[in-house]
Amino acid sequence: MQRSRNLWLVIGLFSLVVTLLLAGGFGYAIKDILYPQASPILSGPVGNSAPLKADKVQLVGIGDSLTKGTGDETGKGYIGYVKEYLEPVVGQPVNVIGNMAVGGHRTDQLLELLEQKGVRYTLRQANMIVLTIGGNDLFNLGQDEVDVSVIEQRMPDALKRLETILATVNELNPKAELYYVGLYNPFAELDNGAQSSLAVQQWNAAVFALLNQYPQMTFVPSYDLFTKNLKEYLSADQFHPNQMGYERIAKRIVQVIE
Amino acid sequence: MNSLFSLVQNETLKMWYKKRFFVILIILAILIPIFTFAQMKVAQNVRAQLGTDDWRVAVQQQISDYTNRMSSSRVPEEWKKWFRVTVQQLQYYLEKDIDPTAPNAVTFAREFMENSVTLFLPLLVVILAADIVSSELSSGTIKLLVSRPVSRWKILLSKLVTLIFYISLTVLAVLLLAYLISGVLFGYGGWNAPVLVGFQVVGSDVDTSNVHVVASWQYILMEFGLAWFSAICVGIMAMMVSVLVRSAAVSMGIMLAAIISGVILANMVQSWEEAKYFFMVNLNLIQYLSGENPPIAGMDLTFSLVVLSVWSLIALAISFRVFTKQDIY
Amino acid sequence: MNAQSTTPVLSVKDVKKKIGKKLIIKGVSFTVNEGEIFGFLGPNGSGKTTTIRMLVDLIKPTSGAIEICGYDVQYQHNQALRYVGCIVENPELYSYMTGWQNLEHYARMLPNTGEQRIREVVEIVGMDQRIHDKVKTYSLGMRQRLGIAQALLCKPKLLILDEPTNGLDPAGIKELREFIRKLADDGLSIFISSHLLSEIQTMCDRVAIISHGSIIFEGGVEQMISQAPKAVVWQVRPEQETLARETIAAHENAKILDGPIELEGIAGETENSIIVTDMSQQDVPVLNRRLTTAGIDVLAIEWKNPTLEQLFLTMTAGEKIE
Repeated sequence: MQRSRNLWLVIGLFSLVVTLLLAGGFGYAIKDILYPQASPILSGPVGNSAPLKADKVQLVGIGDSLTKGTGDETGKGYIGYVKEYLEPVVGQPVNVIGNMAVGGHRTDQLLELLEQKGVRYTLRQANMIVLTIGGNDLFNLGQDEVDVSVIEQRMPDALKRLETILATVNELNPKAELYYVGLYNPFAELDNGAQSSLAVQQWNAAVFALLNQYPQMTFVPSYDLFTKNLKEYLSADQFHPNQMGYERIAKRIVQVIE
Repeated sequence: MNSLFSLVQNETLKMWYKKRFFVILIILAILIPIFTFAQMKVAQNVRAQLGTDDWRVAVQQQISDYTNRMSSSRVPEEWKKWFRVTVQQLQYYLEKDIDPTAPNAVTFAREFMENSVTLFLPLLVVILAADIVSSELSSGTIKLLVSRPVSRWKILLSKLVTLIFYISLTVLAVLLLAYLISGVLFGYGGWNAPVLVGFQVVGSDVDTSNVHVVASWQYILMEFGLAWFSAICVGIMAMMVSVLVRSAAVSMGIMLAAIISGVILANMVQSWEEAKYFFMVNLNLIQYLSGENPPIAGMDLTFSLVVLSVWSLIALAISFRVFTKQDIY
Repeated sequence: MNAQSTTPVLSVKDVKKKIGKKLIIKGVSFTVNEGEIFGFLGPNGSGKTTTIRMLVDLIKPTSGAIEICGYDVQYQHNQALRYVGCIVENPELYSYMTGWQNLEHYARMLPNTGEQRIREVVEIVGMDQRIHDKVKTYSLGMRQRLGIAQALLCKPKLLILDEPTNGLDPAGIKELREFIRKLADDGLSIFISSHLLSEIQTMCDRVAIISHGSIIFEGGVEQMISQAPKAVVWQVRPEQETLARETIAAHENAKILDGPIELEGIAGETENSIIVTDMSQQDVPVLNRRLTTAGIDVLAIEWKNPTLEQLFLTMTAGEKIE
């Protein structure tokens, strides 16, 4: 008798309070969604300390579709093979902590990307960075033809931007080893293959010069990998490497490190 | 007024003695540990794949993945839109250095409710409401109930109030049990962790001009408040079915069909836009808080609230009309 | 009946109920006065239950009015039902609650009815022992008692009992009868429905009989019984049956009722031959003397009531003759 009254008081009062609380939360949510008010956001400093763990390789990839691994049916890309080949060589685990490459990116887009906090943060965490860029600046012309004059025309600007990119990366993380994979010429077998090959070599040479300013940055040539039997190493799109092509790039990078 | 108070007391005690609420607690107590464990596995898996437990790197990788998928021509346009919105949100989190998925009991509770609001929570409500009237009809107790010197509308109103009470308790139970159980694995902190709200989806872009920080507890309050409202709408619909249908099994079946069809329809509304006028498609009010892209263009909080309210009011009108006029055999 | 009461406790005026296109109740009228036990007789399907449900506002009449203590049940629901206790069909209570919790539940629906009153009614029906057990553990008799306790909570002026003896054993029925009598002596009006003539006959002051949705009789119990053929049952030795039948048939004022005649309370296991006759009271000793003279051993002479069905047969047949 007294028990059921007490039970009622407890359930009744408690559920009334909860109901009011939830109704309040509902009202609060409506107000907040319909009439949002921007408030100063406490922006904490993004961790600046790059915890370089000596016991493992922290690999980060940036750049274009080559670093992304487009064309490799296994989806690994050269980064995946680098991890595979490098681990036994250095005797440490190789962690791919991030691959921020985006297919189709040019130097200007990479520059924009480098402004993003997350990208900057991730780069700081790395002690090894791999980079491919420039291919889309030179070759991605929206047509099948390769116009060598256009390539030459674009090269100076692209190189300037690449210089800025390297400076930015250096500023973010001067301790990380950077490996730039040079361009090869997928169009070598076209009619004007000789001219385009020259242009590619010109680019590679210029990039080599830029990288030389920084002791931690290394140029990894890939041009020679794709000069003989080009078709064998290209994927169906006749532009990106296939699995074998990527494996060769990865082997080359590991050789350079050794 | 006095008699209404007594009637609510009656209904509340009956619901308690019927032990329906205990059933709900038991269901939660069984399911939440399973989800907690699954969540832990997912976290471990992600960590193993990324080789890092740094959330910033993980978030950045997510952004890169989405960005790449957006550039692919094989991905449908609607998805790209959603990717873009998500990427923008994630970037904002990185920008403000706020971990959107800080693993703790509070975020678990938050995500649990996010995932429960369209299906699991409505099911719990149906357990409470499906036979709230029909059980009196099928057991014959309705005869004594309505032959007392109390108006019939008051009896139904007291049942509605009681239902709202127990829905509130259920929503609270989801929060408490999700928090307490998942805390064993994830730790109990995180009430003050900042959460960004105010993302507004405009076309395929996110408007971040109104984005602001709330503490996790504030977010939880808002989130559970919204879930509470849609749960009450489900409860009202279930009560109407319970007035109209004598068998508890049938009324439960009708409600389950409605709720599950809502989940299915929500995925199909891209092609059938009129589906947005169904109440069950509008149950996910939380998506407007977290700033997810709504399933159909033209759906926003106001729209969903109006749809839910109109359906509920019609259901209430039908329930009261039928219950007060009905002959009881 | 009761001179000082001006308004009857219950008055039903020309109530009709249509379900779909079918007229289920075809204009029913009767009144129940203060302090009387009113029997409501009718076989299953006669509209009895529908009428009772209309009395307590479970079903709305299509036309006509039902007033309790002067209040219209449909339009003044709360006042009309304030002092009405009822059990419609089975005493259906919440089986997942205890008897006490059930009583509390119904007490809360009544103004000014507290724990004190609950104790009183529990005592009246004598349930103190098991009132705190769950109702699902109760026997039917106990549920019936709890149902009555519930009906008494409101200190009723009118008690409506629908087939109250259904499922009770003979001892329970007897107990219930005495209990109802006692309540009526305290001034309560009691409305009892039944399909058993004997039950109504032993308990009620006045009776209404419903058949196919119409009242075919309303009046005192004596008056009702007098309309029915009363059978005199003679028991003789089987070897003397033929002789006895001849003797009775020779009597000008006695008629032997042939064929299967249902009578209440005839012991089926008797080895004696049974002869059922229709005759007046003053002829019984005359015929008895003749039988004795003829050398027949009359083992028993009994007055027997016919069943409700038979009463109906006579009543409706009578109407047709007029």
